Amino acid sequence: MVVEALIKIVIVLLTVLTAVSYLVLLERWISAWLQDRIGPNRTGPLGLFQPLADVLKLLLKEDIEPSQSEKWIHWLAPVISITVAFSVLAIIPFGSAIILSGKSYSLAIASNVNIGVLYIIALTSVGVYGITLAGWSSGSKYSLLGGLRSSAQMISYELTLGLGLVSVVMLCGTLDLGGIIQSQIAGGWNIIRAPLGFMLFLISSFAETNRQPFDLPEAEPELVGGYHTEYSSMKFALFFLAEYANMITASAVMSVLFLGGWHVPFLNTLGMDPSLLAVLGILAFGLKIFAFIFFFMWVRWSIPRFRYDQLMNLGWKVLLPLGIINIVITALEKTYLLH
Amino acid sequence: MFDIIFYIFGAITVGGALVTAFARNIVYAAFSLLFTFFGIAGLYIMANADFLAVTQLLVYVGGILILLIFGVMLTSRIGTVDIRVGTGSRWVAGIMALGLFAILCAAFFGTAATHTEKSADGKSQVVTSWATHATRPWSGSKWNQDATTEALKPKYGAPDEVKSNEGSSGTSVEIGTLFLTDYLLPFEVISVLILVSLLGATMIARKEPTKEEEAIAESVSV
Repeated sequence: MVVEALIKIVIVLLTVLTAVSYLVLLERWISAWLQDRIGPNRTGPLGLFQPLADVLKLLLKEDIEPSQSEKWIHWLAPVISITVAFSVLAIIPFGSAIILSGKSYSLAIASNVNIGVLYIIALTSVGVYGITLAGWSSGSKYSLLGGLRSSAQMISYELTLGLGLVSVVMLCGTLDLGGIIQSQIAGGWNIIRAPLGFMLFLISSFAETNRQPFDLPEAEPELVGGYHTEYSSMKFALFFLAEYANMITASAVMSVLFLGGWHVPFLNTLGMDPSLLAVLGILAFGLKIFAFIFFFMWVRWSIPRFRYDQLMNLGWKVLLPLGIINIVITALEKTYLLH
Repeated sequence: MFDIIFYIFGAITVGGALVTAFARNIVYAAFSLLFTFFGIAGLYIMANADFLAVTQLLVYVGGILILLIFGVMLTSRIGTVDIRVGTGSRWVAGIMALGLFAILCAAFFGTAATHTEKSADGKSQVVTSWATHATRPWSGSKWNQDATTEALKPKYGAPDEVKSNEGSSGTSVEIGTLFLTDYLLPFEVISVLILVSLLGATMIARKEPTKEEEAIAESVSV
């Protein structure tokens, strides 16, 4: 039991860490493609060794500690960020249970978490601390402003995120991620059953991951580098890692909640071997995550950053009322359309 | 294994609380509360109160503490303020601490931990054990596992699939059912109370804009 969990943790961590380093390369490729440039192509074949070079560079850099900083908290902030980013992965079901030599293995590190959805919200709220404390402990104006912005932004959009989730919970009647997927297999994907909820969740995911157009905590022209201005070397790399890991987690969560996780429609009617089905399920889940990540990057290089008051107006005056309306719509839908 | 994890969470909780109580720097005091809340959430999970644990994280860590830290961060040069630990009220504090300890002890030794056990003939029966002479609550995974479920079962019939989940016995179903049946009135009253305090806080925090400011605000928003 413990060994099984440990093996799963190692596999997930290694996969995600590798994926993160290559996501950085992918982001640079996509930005180059969107801007009609070539992008990194010198390090290794097609530039594939670029992540290795980047990591090496970051490792060898000097770790500068600002003289005005609160040492402990300055050190702890990136650790909090990265821990939270990875913790959500613990409850994501990466595929349907596979059967090896008569024993069934579930493809989630912790399966059957009754409060899965709440666990996600709780961890999102802890995620604010990494950025806020990083901004405060650096002892720099730019960092502090970035930290303050981030906490205000993340607290505001957490509400919309939660309201988007409520529609999923109402439709599926469970807080367990595995149960949510089962409910979608039976009754159709949630993106169809709750399109408004999906939209709200998607928009607030951008804000929660601090990605453009909501990357105000690190807006370069105004704040130099925002909350991580005073960070260097591996501590900076941890923030970088956390941003991309957050993107993966957000994509995985959205795939599970709205796109049926590892479910592929009509595939089980073809009468294929169950183990082949399981593998295809995992691949489908990976593809869905990739599609979301591509969307994240596409938006980043296409849409300009919001102004701070626009961000707050959108969050509180548009998205929040929409979220509440969405709950009413979902309730009506559940009562009258889906009996 | 279970014991070790319990003591780790216990150490995190108590350690965080000690730093909060004794830290001279108010920022560290506020920050170490994070560890206390986190440790308590862990202890709740070990007692199979998963819903309570997540609520603890959501409300205290995600809400109250972030407001606290916000306040500390926005107060300029608060890091340099020395918190004076007064010596005058030491006796009162000591007596109060002892009293609280006595109350907690009474609660601890007076609480029955019920759990189901398979008897020899295969039938399950509810066993009530007292912390004083039976298993310590944290030393087995059985503590309170089915207490709530068993108590509610005849009334509402908790769904079987929730109960059969390994590890945790989903408490969220029972809590939700109770909120919307037996405790509907308190639930609604509390939500109204929270709404009132929210409005009150907004009223206090809101500054009446002067005429000049109003004019500026209008010209900006257009």
